[in-house]
Amino acid sequence: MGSGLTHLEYERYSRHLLIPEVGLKGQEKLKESSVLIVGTGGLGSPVSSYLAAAGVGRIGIVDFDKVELSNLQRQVIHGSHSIGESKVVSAKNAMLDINQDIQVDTFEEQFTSENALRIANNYDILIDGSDNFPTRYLSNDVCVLLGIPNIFGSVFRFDGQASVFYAKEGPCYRCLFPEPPPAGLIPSCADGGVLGILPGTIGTIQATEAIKLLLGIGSNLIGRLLLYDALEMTFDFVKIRKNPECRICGDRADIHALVDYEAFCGSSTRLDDMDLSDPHQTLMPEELSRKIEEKEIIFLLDVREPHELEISRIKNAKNIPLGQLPGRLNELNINQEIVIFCKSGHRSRRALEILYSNGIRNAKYLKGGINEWARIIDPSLPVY
Amino acid sequence: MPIIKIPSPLQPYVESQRSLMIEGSTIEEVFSNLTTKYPGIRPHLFDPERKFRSFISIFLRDVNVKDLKNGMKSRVAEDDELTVIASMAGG
Repeated sequence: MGSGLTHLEYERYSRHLLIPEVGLKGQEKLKESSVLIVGTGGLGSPVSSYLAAAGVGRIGIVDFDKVELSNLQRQVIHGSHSIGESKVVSAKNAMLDINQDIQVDTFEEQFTSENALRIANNYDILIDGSDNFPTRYLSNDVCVLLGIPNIFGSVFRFDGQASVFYAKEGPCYRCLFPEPPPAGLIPSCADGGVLGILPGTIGTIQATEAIKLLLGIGSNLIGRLLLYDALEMTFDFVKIRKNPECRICGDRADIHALVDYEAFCGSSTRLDDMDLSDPHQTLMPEELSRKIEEKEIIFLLDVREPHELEISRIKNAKNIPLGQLPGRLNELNINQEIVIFCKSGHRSRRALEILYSNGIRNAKYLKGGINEWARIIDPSLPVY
Repeated sequence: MPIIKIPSPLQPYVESQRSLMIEGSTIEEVFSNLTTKYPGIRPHLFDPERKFRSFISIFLRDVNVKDLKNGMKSRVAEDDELTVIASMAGG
């Protein structure tokens, strides 16, 4: 028979062997395949669980984070017992518990321009389950340079996106989004939140696409972007095309090697020329506490959403959600020093940009936001 | 009236609506009316040269406006759906 499966594997994969599109040949193909998963968070959790269960022979996982309590609302490959543990170790243990016949390679390091080609070099497919723009552009460029598919998924609140970017056969991520948004303009899940189940849906779609590509069956998401709205329960598809002007896969591509992605994502299309690293624009919690104690006259501006005020507040702060700030600048007392805060500092940095671009320069933002304030100054407040 | 779907990250600039009906007979007109009604969303959609920002894509039904022969001047029907997509990185 020449089968590459053991008797136990016949039993384990019985439900696959019964599907004509998979069958014995397909299952053997999966066993010989390799997939690299970038990120073992919300998306990486279902991806790594299902690919392990499906019998993908070698799975690499890259992550430098440790498991935190706030991860467990959605990152279902990790458990309470793993809090504080390395995510790749926690995920590897869970994957081998599901299927000890596979090989799991762990890379407990940040995926960067320096190591990405070395790490991704020996895999058939890369699955992007990262949570930031620099890593997304890096993952894309690595895949284009290595000539492998990049199975993309991203989530925010109730919205999910998924596609397969494969420059050999269709568009890449840069064809759709040539440049990232200015730092801080599009909030991350840490700032804006995400429905815990959402990455489960999108990650499962990514895993499905990976299995189909490895088996060479069905229609895939190359040239299509899936838009999932969990609140309205709609799945829409839009067509995406190769961009002839694309800097990495277009006709006159000028990117032939990995670049500095932090710089690329940190400096592009900034709305204002302010230097956010200037320490004069930040205020430490201790300094704000002193100002309040000494009754210095300051204008405290809370740019969080109204529902977040139910979690924690700083007394006497005026709430103007970030999205409404440009239209409500007249509500600020610009004769006072303005101290802006949000949950952890990202939105208030953006708010400071808005104030600066409107000529209001007597302003600072609270470093680390109300969460840092809760940790250092007022432990009666919860950290969220 | 054509419907515009707004992605979550930009919903705070349109009073938290996920989709809205905006008048207009071309894509350009619809977006001009949208940004007149909700000026806060303008800098997120357009650069100072009135071009869509590189992290935003606009689709008429399922076709990218960039791939339409008439681009922003393309006509929209009463029951057409425009979708704004913003790149998002959450995972």
